[in-house]
Amino acid sequence: LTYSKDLLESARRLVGGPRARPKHSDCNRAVSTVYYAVFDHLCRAVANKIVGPFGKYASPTENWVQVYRSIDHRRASEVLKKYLDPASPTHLKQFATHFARLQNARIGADYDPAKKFNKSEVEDLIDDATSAINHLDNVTKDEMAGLIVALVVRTSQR
Amino acid sequence: MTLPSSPSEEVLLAIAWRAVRASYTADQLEGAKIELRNSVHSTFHVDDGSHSGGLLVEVWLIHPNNDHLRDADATADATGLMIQEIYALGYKDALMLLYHGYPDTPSRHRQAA
Repeated sequence: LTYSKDLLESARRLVGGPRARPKHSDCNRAVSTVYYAVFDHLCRAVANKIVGPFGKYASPTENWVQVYRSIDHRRASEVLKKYLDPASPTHLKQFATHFARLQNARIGADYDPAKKFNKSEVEDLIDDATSAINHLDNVTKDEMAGLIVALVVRTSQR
Repeated sequence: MTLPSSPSEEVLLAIAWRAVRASYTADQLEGAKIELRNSVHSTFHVDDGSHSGGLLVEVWLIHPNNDHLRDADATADATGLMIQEIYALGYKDALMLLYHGYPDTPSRHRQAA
């Protein structure tokens, strides 16, 4: 699952090193990338659990891609909102909290012309995304199973 | 009793400060202030990547004198406390999300350089 971490590196490059003074447009693009890193990590984790991971130099199978793409942003938002409850397992709760914050930040960065993130704010969000990814990697097998069911299973009315 | 459509700014600020003070030390909060932004009733449906409805409050903790707190778990904890409290008031669809703000001042850039 290195792609999501590569995306965070992309965000870091957009805002530059300690002496860099990135434009707001670079900062806003970085915020969007930071959110996408976390969303991608979630989708990959689900696809890997259902279909199985593919090798480092292999291409994902059609089934893997289908599961990966079955999760949309809105569904993820709705499902993860349930884990904001204080009684939720710690790692899932922390992941869900950062997911909500990062998704909202991304909506501002991408769709609100007045929104201008600065470098320091982006650096904070990169830290938050790193933490979110670590928390998702640490959920238990049973917790992950519950999350996967909530994300991909659509109940039908019979 | 019917709830007002959203809590007053005073109530939201009190919730935010309680959560922040529970998650950070007084030293970390020295000189900090809280700004509430984009307090809107939102049913956001742009490109299906969005908030699904209810009150959305961005709580910006502005650190004029501090560098990064670098504590993602504390940020999540404070956010969780705010959400817990606003749910308890009866606003079940509400979200209060904490962000850290750093004024983009020239002196800050000089310090970094």
